[in-house]
Amino acid sequence: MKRSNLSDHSPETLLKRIAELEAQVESLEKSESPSNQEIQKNHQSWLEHVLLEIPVPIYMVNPLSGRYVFGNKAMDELLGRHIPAQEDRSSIAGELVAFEEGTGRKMTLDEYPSSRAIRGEKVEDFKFLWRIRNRDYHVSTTACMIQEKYGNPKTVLVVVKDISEQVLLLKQIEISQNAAIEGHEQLQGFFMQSNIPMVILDGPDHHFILANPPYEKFIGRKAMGKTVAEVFDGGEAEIYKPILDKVYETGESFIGKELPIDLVDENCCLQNYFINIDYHAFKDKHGNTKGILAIVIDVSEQVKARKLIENSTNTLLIEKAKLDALVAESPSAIGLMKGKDLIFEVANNKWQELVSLGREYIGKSYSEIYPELIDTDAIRSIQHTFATGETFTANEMKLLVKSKLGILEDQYFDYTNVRILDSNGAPYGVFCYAHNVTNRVRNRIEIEENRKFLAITVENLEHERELRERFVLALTHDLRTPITALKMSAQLLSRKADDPNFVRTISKRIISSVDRADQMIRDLLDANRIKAGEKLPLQIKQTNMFEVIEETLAGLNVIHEDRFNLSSENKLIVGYWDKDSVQRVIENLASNAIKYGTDTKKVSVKLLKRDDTVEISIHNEGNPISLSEQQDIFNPFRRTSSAISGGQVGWGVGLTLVKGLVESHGGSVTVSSSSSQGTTFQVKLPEDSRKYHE
Amino acid sequence: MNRNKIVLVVEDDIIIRENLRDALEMEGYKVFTAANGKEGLEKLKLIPQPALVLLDMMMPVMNGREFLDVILADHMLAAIPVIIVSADIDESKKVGSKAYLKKPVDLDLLLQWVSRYAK
Repeated sequence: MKRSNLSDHSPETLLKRIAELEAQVESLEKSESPSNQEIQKNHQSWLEHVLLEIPVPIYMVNPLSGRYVFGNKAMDELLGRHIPAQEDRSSIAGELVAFEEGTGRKMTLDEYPSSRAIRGEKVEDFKFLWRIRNRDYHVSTTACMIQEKYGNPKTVLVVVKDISEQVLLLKQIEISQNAAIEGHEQLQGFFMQSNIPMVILDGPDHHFILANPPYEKFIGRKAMGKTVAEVFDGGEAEIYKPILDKVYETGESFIGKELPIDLVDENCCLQNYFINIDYHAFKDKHGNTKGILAIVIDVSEQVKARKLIENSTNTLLIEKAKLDALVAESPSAIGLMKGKDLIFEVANNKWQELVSLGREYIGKSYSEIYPELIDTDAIRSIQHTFATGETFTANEMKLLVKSKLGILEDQYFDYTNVRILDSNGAPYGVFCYAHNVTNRVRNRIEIEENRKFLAITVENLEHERELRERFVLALTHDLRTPITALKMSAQLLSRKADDPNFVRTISKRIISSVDRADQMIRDLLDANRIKAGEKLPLQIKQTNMFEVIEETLAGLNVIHEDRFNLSSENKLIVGYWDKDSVQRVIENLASNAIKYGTDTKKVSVKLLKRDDTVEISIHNEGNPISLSEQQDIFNPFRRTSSAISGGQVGWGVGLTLVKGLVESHGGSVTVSSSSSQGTTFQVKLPEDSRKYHE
Repeated sequence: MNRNKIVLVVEDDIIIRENLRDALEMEGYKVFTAANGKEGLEKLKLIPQPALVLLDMMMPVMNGREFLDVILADHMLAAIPVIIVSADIDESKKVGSKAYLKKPVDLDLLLQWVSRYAK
């Protein structure tokens, strides 16, 4: 048996300890961590369980209302009924009547331990007689105020100890003492029948002159006729004998609370017990101490239950601290949502950074916090995990969420939902481990887009390079044609210089070839201007369109042997245009019609005036131009695929030039082509182009 | 008509075509002309078989290469010597021809080559 601090194990300490635990629970409830709350709820339920089951009557009173808050089973048993919460004490006062110990005076409600505790008094071992349903109980009460974190009264806790048997015993002893004649027999009878372990020790050596069966059973050995030193030869006597000596010498009683003692039980196993001991000196008629009455109450269960609470509390607090640290420091965002409504209990720092700062999480539901995610796979996946227990993992799930800037945007998340169960195995909530991978996904998308863009750019560059190569090829070929003609003409001239007609013919050819070369260079420069988005310089004057076209076709007919057929309703179609430009447009379109059309068929040129617009249509029969080529045909340096594969002449600036010239006049040029209808280029010019070219 | 003096000129540019006609006629050749390959093939059906064809490559409707392929495949025409006169720098197209003269061609050189096949 070890020496211990007796005051530390008193019922008062138990009360204080319970009060402290209450206060701890309350402060933890108020703490912000939801996992704390979780643990605290566990604590509270533990505490309530222990309070409810502890075989000591306990009740609680609300200090403000004076109404009952709680009473445990032992209390119910004592009262003979269950007092529901909120019942007023005064109504119970009719059933319970308290009398002052000794005087037998009826106590007022104000004198009750709960009232005294409400007033802030310290109530310890307050003894009185309690008459409950015509039965008297001697009780010792301890009451205290349990305060909240901030010092506000919360509840009054009252612990009741039924000491009827001890009091009766003491009374019996007194009666016995006073009677002095009743003798041992009666006392012994009482002793032996009592179920409370008790002994009577005689003389300064503390001889066991009476030890009842419960006592001997409790200590596991025979004691009658022996001294304390003889019975407790294992060292326990060293603790108890000095106390007994003092009681014997001074005549003052000793009460020990929750003293530890190791005893061998029926199965020869060493057991730890906690006992309350009352040592009462009893005296002879001369006032000299004759012996000591010792009463032992086994309080092991209560103490063990309390220690269990303390230990489990400590363990839980340590576990909770570990969990808190783990959750707080986790590189993943961790959120715990409770119940099917997904109320947030945990949202660590990373979680709060997950989408956007400034949202309140704890105690709010998922759909309250993320209204933008209602009816999305994000919430459905969590609900599914909660309902089925299936772990769900999402990779780069795209969600439209409110960003840190407060705007809705697509963000990407990796996350895993895991269901957790409560201690009864019922679904408790869903743990979600998440990563915001928006930057990663965006970077990848950007890289992919860049790569695609790069590929397209490379392709375009390749295509452009191809076009340029082909253009240079066509340019050199086409420029060589008038140069070849010039060289040949010059060589021919010397061979027949004496024939004036021949010289004239050759001169015309030389001039024509030089004009062609010059025209090519001009076309090339103008096409470049058009490509650069510049307007072509025009000299707009009053012009007769019919005359211009007629002249142009006449010039071409010299070379192409009367291949054109011009038709017009009117030979006088006057408007404002640049004559030179109109000639170039007609030359280009008409030459193309000859070049690409069927050589046996005439090229028809129609001129038509409609309101304030002049329409010129140039039609040839022959191979059609495909639709895709029609769309591309006016772009610079493009020639139709048939023209390219056919190894045909021209570098593809003609139609670009036509379009540029027509548009400079505020007009338009279109093409339609089919195998049955042949190919028609239609030019529309406003009657007066001056306002389009200022 | 002396078949050995007949030359067919297939050339889309009218001035070059006419220059060639004048130059050859001055040398005593009988000259027929065509503005493209298709016309050239049609001409071959109408005229006595020429001693030589002078052929341009880049022409509309039917180019020189296509023209050459057709006559090479025709056993009646395959034997006609063909001299290419072209600005096309792609010499891979000259297969099946007797010579490849690059524009701007020297008239004397051209006539030398012609005289080799048309006597």
